[in-house]
Parts: sequence; structure tokens; C-alpha cells
Amino acid sequence: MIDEPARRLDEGALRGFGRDLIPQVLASLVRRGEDFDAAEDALQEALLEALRVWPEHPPRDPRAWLATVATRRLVDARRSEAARHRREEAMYAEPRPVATEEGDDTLFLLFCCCHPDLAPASQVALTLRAVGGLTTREIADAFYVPEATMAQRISRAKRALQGRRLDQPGDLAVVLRVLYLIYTAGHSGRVDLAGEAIRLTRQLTLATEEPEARGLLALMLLNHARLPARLDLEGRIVTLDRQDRGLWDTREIAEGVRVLQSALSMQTVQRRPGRYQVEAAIAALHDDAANAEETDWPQILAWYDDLLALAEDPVRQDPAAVLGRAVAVGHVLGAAAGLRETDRLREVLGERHRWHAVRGHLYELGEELPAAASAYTEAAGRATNVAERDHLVRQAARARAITVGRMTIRRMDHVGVVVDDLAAATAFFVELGLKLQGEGSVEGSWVDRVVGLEGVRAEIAMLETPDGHGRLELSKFLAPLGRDGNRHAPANTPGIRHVAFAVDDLDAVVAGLRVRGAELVGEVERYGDRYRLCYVRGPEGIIVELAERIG
Amino acid sequence: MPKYLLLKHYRGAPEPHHPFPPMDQWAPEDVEAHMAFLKHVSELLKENGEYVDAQALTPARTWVRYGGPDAAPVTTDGPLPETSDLVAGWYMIDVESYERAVELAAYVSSEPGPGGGPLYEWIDVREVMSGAPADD
Repeated sequence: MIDEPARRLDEGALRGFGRDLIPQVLASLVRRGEDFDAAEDALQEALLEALRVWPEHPPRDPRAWLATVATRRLVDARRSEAARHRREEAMYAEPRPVATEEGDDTLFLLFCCCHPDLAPASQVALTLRAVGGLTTREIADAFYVPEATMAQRISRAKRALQGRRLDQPGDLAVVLRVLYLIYTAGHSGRVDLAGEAIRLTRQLTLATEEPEARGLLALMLLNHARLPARLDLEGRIVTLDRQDRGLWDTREIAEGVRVLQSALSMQTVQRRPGRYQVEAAIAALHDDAANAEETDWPQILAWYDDLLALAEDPVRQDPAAVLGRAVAVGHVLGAAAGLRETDRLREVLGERHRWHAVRGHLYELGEELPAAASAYTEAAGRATNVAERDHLVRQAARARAITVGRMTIRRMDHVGVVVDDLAAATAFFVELGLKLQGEGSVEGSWVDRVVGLEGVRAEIAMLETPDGHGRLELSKFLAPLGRDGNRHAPANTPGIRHVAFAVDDLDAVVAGLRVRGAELVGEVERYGDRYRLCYVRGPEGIIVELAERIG
Repeated sequence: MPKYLLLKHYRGAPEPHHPFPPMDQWAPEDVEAHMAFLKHVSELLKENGEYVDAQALTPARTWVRYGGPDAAPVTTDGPLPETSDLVAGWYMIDVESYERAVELAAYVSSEPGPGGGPLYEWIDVREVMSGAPADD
């Protein structure tokens, strides 16, 4: 592309193209002894100039072009404010000694931006701007702060770097942490920070042999691969066990596994895999399962053991790892064991939503749904993210609904009446219009245990109303014999006193029953203008209420 | 165009028109309907060109005051009466008039509750003071 001057560049391509050159050009300016702050400003101006000029006049060597223009800007700035910038001028004339070995520009710049003296928020902002080439506006959008606030944060960070020697090798662990911070911030924002973090980490792996850099890249890729399945079309969180695995990015998973293997292949007895490699291995095991049930939890647990072994006091130094391990313990050794693991964290994490959410998951795993619902409610009240809060409220409502569904009845099944003359009672209700569903006898230890009597033998008839929604169970106990019931109990006697049926023609039914020897208990009466009602004394004193709807 | 905050409260609102249990005790489909409505309100405000901002607050609260020279800040998270005001979140809107703000607040309050009927939640409507002095 560089050697095709005739080719016009559009702005999108140009920005992407320019961004790849930023670290190289900026590093060369800073190594030469320029102030980080001034060099970065000059380069941004050069990029703007490039956007204007390159579409018409593509340069033969874009990197050299940018370096030349940026340098010219630096010199211009000094000339115009020579008096105020005497100090800088002196430095320009007498550049500071710089590292002579050929290190990679990206690595060098990352060490600058992730200088340990800077606060994490400043490290992140500066890295995104100086190494990532994002505009201040884009970074502000990503973190939902006003652009002026972000601009101030970046310029303070750059000022903080002024006068510091930037030729010492930096702390790679800090760089990795900053990149991971950028990645994790990237799941909700308007700017694709996750993609940016992956891009920067990929550049970093080209600049250093450090296996942890590859471990971090693998971890990002293996998690990022699941991103398309993490939210449904309505923006609702979908937990790992319910995700549509067909949406996972298999290409990213394959790359992540490859990168992880290359990192792990460098391990020796003295040099165990670091935390990013271990976490990547856990992510790879999740990605590898065709469905949630096939997840290799024992191996995940083994990796968590390795992760915990990296800290002297994991509960205080790495509670997130202990919490993750508790989930694995729950799946391998049972929910109760997992819950016991979380108990160790109560003091450290007991006020955090994730602790309660994990306990909700473990209670659910153990089918303790009321406890799961309570834990999810606790978690929802502590969530600091709207999507997660909504998800936890849903989890609580779902667990509670299942609990309520199980704790309450589904429908009326039948009413039982104990009688002496089963045949006569059955005939009475069949005459009334019920259908005989079945007859039989029951006995055995199971009946004894259910009804709480010994040596039960009973004959049973089950009758069903014509609509199929109501049933009557008539039973005659052959043994043991019950005490005599009160066959003439008045309608106000405490206890189950009557069964009621809807009829179309009350008078006709009553007339038919009278033929069979049944008598009205009182009289036929109207209930408001909606029903005509009466009580009939049926066989063995059973009160049968009949109701005819009128009007 | 005046700006208004439509505030939702965890507590401290007038006596509820229609008492309801916390959302985690609703039927799951009612929870879904409620959340879908709130999403719809944001989209509607954006489509109307009336949307400025919408935020939710966690229920945790800390009161802080200056502790005096060389002293740490004094903080407290209680004890406070259960009736004290606790804001849950807000929509900030930029609308033609006070009447329009009231109309939108009432619409927010019609959000579906348990059983699918309106929640009748009290919404606190507050005008945001403008930063610039008015022209004479």
C-alpha cells in the first residue's frame, strides 16, 4: 500500500493506518529526548495534517512523513515561545541519553504510559491515547465522563511524566494490569475498548517473550469469543450455562488456545505459569465444552488450585480467585462444599454483590431455591451495574416463582368421604351424574404410613364430575374400623361438612333424589339474583349442596 | 426549554397509591414487562428529542461531613429513619413546559407492576436551574 502513491486513501483506512504508526513515531521522538507531553501533542497534530493531505498525496513512507511533520511542529512550538521554553530548548540541543538497545517501540511506550507513579485511571487514559491512538473524545465516551475531564486527566498524566527518565525498563506486570483493565472496561461502553485492549496486547506479545503477556492475550481472546452470546437481543445478561454456544467465535477460541499453548510451553519447574495463563486455561476449558453439562469442572478446579497457590494469603490477596474456585468446588464436590468455601470470604467480600450472586448460584445448584432467591435479592441490592442488577432481580424472581409454584397447590384434585355402604353411596352419586372412574382396594405398609393407621384395608371408588374438573373419593375401611361418625350432624358442625355441585335444573335434580330417599335439609332458596341453592342429606348423612345459576 | 429531573425513590415518597411487594417477589413475566417498559421510556424520550440523561443509584448511602482540621472525614450510614428520602434514579428531560414534564412523569408512573397493572409509583418532578442568566 505504501508503494502505491496513485492509490487514494479514505479517512477510515487512514486513521487505522496512522494508528499503527503512532507508537513507532512517538517512541522515536521520546527516545530522542523530547518531552512526552510535547511529542504526543505534536504527533496528534501531524496525524490531523495527514488526514488532510494523504488522501490527495499519499506519502511514500508514512512513518518518516509523520516523524518529520511532528518534529517540525515541535520546533515551531519552541520558536514561537522561545523564552518560555528555554529549558526545553536546552534539552533539545542536548538530548538525554537514551537506551541504545533496539527495544520495541510499543513496549517502550507502554512502559512510559504505565509508569508506576501514575494512578491507574491515568495509566489507562494515557495508554489509550498515546499507544492506542484514540482521540480524547473517544476515551471520554468510553468511560462516560465529559471530554474536558478526560482531557485534563490526560494532560495531568503527561505533565506527571515530564522530567522523568523514560529510558529505564518499566514494570511489565503494571503494563499487563493496565491492559487488562482496559479490556474489562470494554464490555459496556460505546467504544470497543475490549477490541482495543486485544490489539495492544497482541502488539505487546510481538515485543516481549514474557509468557504472561501471551497468557493475557489468550485470556482476552478466550473471553472475548463468548461476547456475542453474553447478551440477548433485549440486552439481557445470559449466564454462561445458558449461552447459545453456536454464537461463540470459534476463530478467536482457536487463536486463544494457540497463544496459550505457546505460553505454557515456556514453563519450567522454576517458572510456573502466572495468573493470566492460569485464568486463560480456565477460560479455555469453558470454551471447550460443547454444552454446560460437559464442562470439565474437575480440571477447572485443578487450575483454580494453581491460581490460589500463586498468592500467600489468597483470601485477602485474591478473593476473586477464591470465589471462582468456590463455584468449581460446588460443581465437583457438591453445592454445600462450594457454599462452605464462600464462607471463608464473608469478611472480605460479604458486602459485594458478586459474593451473594455466587452463593445464589450454589444454592440453586443444590436445589435450595428459597435460599437462592434470598441470595440473589441480596446481590441485586448491592450491584453497581444496571445490567447486572436487572439480571439479579430476574434471577431472584425466577427462583422465588419456582419456590412458590412448588409450595402451593396446582389445582383441586378430589374430596374424600368415608362411608359404610360403598355400593349405595356410589350409586347415589352416579345417579346424580358423576362418572365412576374406577374402583379398587388398597392395603399395604405404604397406605399405613400415608394415613397414619396400622393394618389398613379399604375399598375405594373414585368418581368424576362430567366436566372432568372435580372428583370424589368414596372409601370404606374394612380395617381398622373407625368410630361411628355423626350421620345427622347439622350443617354448622365443625369439620368438612358438605360437597357442592352445579346443576342446570335444581328442581328436577331434587325430585330425582327424593325418589331415591334423599331429603332436603332445609328449603330451596335464592342467593341474591344469581343462584338457587339447597342442601340435600345424601347417603350416610353426607350433605350435598346443589346450585343452579339463574339470570 | 426547561430541564426536569423525574426522580424515582427507593423510599420517602408519599403513601403509595397501590402498595406492591419488591420486584424480586413479582412473577418473572411481570419483571420482564416492567424492565421492557423502562427501556421503552428511554427510547421514547430519545426519539422525541427530550432525553438528556438517565441514571440509577445503588441503595447504599453514606453521609459525610468535614471532620475539622487534621481530622478524618466523619461518615455515617445510619441510623436514619426508615422514612428518610432515598433516591433510586432519574430521567433528566429537556421539554417544552412544566405540563409536558408532568405528562411524562405520569407516563413513567404507569409502568406495569405485579399482575401487569400500572404501578402508580410516585415520581418526584424537579426543575433543574439553568446555568446561564436569562436575557433582559
